[in-house]
Amino acid sequence: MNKTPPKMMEWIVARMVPPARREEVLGDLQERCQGPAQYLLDALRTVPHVIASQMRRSTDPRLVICEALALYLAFLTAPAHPGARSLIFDPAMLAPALIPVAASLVALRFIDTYSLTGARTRTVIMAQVALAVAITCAAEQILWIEERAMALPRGALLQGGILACFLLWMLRMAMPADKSRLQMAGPGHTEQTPDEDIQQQAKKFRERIRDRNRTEYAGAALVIAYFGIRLFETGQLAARIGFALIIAGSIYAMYHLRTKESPGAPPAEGTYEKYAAYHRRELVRQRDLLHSIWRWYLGPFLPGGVVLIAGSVLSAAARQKQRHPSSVFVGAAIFGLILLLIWKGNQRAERRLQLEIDDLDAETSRR
Amino acid sequence: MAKTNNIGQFEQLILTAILALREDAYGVTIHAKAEELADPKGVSLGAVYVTLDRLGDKGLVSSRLSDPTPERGGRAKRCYQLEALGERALRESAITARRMWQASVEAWGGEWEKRWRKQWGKETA
Repeated sequence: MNKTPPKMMEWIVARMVPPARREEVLGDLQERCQGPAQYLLDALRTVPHVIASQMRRSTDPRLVICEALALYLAFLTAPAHPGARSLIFDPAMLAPALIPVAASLVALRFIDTYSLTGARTRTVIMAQVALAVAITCAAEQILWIEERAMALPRGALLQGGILACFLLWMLRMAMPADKSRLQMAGPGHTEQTPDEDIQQQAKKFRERIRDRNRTEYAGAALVIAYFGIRLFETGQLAARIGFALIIAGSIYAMYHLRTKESPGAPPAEGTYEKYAAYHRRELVRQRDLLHSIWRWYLGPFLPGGVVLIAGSVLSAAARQKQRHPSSVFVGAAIFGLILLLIWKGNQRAERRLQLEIDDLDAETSRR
Repeated sequence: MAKTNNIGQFEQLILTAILALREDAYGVTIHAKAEELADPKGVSLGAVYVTLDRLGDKGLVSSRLSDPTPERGGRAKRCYQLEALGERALRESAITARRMWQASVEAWGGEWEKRWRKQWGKETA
């Protein structure tokens, strides 16, 4: 007959097993348990395999390559301190910049392995990438104490870390994880009536939109705070105008989101038809919102971006010896890449919404 | 001809264990059956999980969580079953193994075959 493992030991083992596999692995280990020593040995032999397997399943090689490039770009384009050249122009920093890239990638792999397998919202993704970058910064601080020559300057780490967060967040939004690989089939779900089903769909969609809007407000607050600080720091007129225009663009985009795109109130009670009509209205509104993203979301950032790039080009031309002009083109390329990623991600989301609308229409016409 | 999955020896072992266990194929029983099939070689439970994941990703097996049981501390079992693709891969492996056996008999002679059949007879008795 099997014995029960000590509670503390079981708790520790449970924390080590990735959540997606916890239920069956802990159950199997308990079923095989013959005593504390055997349980511990069994767990030590089994859990590393389970972690490695879950890590393999949760890793998309394309995403890893894109993340590695984005991280390297983010840390290399950051200057050691305000006004200095980017690290990319210092050959001695090319190798040390690989260390935070490797640390972030390892942290992200573990975060993915141990993350819950439910829906990954924008907020969750932002929290995950922020955690990975925070772990990287902590590792770099230890390196700074132990082997200063191999560590990135703190200014570059901070600025590179912020850019890395945004790039990783956008990459992960544009390349969502394949949930079918992360999560195996659970017990059969309980059947719902069509009325309950449409109510739940509408409720989930409303929560999704509210969650997205909250994330956008938080992101806009960060952008405004960052460019607000830069606005007072810089002495260049073109940079000041560019930062002010970007802040104005953020405020406009958030105003549009708040006044035009917040989810409407659902019907207090009603039939399938009422809920379906409400849900369809919301789906169409959000689809149209994504379709017009250049007008209200990306467009408002363009004047600021163009002024900043033009100002940098003129400044680089004037001070050619102090500042390498190609750093301006790297900055412009990153700005363009960010806009492109946002646009592509939103196009994909628009197509998904259209599919949901088509499904809903088909279901309504069947009834 | 439709493309088939290439499966390794350990994957064949796990697929055979699932096939033999039918409705009762979950981590512990699959591991026990795989150890029985691989005798005298040992099989680790961790390797069984890794292989089950890989087979699942290839679409050769599917799984579902059963109801929780008291002897497992109220935890559910993950039960596995062969998919059509898995059955086909296993059949093809068995045919290949048979061809390898016949080629070995032709090369090493009837005496060798008799000795091995006797050895297997002892094992199954």
